[in-house]
Amino acid sequence: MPENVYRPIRTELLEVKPETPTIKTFRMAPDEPIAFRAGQFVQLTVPGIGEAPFTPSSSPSVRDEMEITILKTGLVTDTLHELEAGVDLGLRGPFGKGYPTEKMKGHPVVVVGGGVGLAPLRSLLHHLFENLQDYERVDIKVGARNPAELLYRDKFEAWAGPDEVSLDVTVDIPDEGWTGKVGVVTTLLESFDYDVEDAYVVSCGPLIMLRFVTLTCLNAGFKSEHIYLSMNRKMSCGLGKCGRCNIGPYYLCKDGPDICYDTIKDYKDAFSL
Amino acid sequence: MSEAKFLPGDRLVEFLGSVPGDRKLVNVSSEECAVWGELSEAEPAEVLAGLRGARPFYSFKSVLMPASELVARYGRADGDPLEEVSKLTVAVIGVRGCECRALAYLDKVMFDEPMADPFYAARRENSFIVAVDCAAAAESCFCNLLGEAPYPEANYDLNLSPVQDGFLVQAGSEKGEQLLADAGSPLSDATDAQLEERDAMRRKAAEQLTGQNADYDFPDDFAATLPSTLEEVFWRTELSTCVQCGGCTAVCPTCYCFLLFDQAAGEGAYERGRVWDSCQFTGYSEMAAAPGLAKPDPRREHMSKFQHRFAHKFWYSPLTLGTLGCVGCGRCIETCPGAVDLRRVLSQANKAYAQDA
Repeated sequence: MPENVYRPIRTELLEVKPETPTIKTFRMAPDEPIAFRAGQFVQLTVPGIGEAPFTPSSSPSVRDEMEITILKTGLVTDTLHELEAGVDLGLRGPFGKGYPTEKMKGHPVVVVGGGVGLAPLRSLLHHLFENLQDYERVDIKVGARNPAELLYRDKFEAWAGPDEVSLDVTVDIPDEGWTGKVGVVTTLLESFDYDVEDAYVVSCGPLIMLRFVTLTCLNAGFKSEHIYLSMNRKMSCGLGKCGRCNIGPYYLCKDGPDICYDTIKDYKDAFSL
Repeated sequence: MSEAKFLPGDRLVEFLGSVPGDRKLVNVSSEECAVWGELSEAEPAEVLAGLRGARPFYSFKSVLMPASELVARYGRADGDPLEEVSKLTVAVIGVRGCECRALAYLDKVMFDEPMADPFYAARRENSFIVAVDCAAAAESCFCNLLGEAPYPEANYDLNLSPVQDGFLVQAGSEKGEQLLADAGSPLSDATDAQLEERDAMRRKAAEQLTGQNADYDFPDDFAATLPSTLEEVFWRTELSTCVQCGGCTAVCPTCYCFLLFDQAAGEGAYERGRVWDSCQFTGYSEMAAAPGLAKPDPRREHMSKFQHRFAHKFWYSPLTLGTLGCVGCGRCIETCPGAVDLRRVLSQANKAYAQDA
């Protein structure tokens, strides 16, 4: 009998770490290790409630534990945010292709995260930091609604450390203590002090943000085939059978969830909200 | 393909009883159309009539993909539903040419990378397919418009062709060959006259289809025609009578969408089920949102749902699977309470495309 891919692997919730008023990071240990590449995703089960797809925020090179950073935004995630360490969850996966880390080798990589969109990109950042010699440079662009919703602030200092890495942060609406940049994340993508023709962009955030990140990057001189977007679609099975996560003929669960802008740009519903 | 054998009509039910399957489902005639019934409970005369008439109202799809089923138990719940499904064998008797093509399509989707759907795979491997020629077409049948024939050409274990006083039987797989070799007494070699009779019956069914679909004109290349006509006015006329009931996708032999759901099954015990879903339904592609915010939905507009059914079958499927996602069975036309006729929609797309060219 083949393996039943619909059965979740029992997973112990080890720690819940609040990140922002609406975002928490869940550290967990599945009974069977789940080996994933940066950008691949898992289906996380809250027993009896349901599943939702997430890209782990932890390093792909750590096998026995996994971290997932999650915004409270629906039935499954509302329940998750009520949970405490010690309970059982479930995991299925990994699914999808993951980030194009091979193609990006030798090129500058611009990582653009908006709000909780920075969460899946953290697995990419782990990979890039562990293999910095393979990439020409890494520019991290972070945006959030306000300073309180800035994710991973405690990591910023370390991220900005290496010479090959830059970190640029902006918020839409500042508070009294904010001394940094103000504006939407695309304001960080308007000009670069190097030729971006060879650079790759990897972005995750709300669909409306992805639309404008794409437009801004095209204007700045990025090639459309170098723009990778973590597109948002409802998913259920994770293996290309249940039908709903398509953009044209592409299924984000198996051809994505990050997909090249050039691949999807001609499909009418690609950026519909 | 094996030599054709002749099976007398009065030995049909007995012969079908010998095909492998814990369950045996067969076309049974009823007042208006054929339906699926259990062979053991059906009247022989109804089975004979069912297999000599047009395709049943429903396809056999639910045999391989039930409308609702359990796919996992977890927590303290014991047992794997896959194990139970893996033990059951089914014979499906009366699968039409269009449905054999639907089977090939579903196989491509369900066995495709990155992994097979284990429930579909188990049921498919445990199924025995007895196909049958269409001696008559239903009013909405249109396989001829897709360049297809009203009789099975592949993807079956045995095929039946109605002739005078019985059926010609032909094997299409090793399992089928073996069964014919073992069947013995009721079978005799088909005569040249019987083979000619079968060919004449096939021609007659094809002529009926050509006649009833004479007013429709399908594009040669859907992938060129559809994308360039999505803004045409005829789409809005067609959309105006669609009530999003999902009947079209439910009866379609190639529609396979489903949704997983979880539920409690006792203290600390849980189960996961799946139900058929439809791209026509509100909520099908709707994502989560924080309270008070609109839920993002890339196909929120009714039109984008309506067009998606056509786009998936005639535009995307050829790109991803190398085959159309429609087999011309016409069930969506027959079932639609809004009288949306796929033949008319595609013919209008073709016309609009030709005018713009």
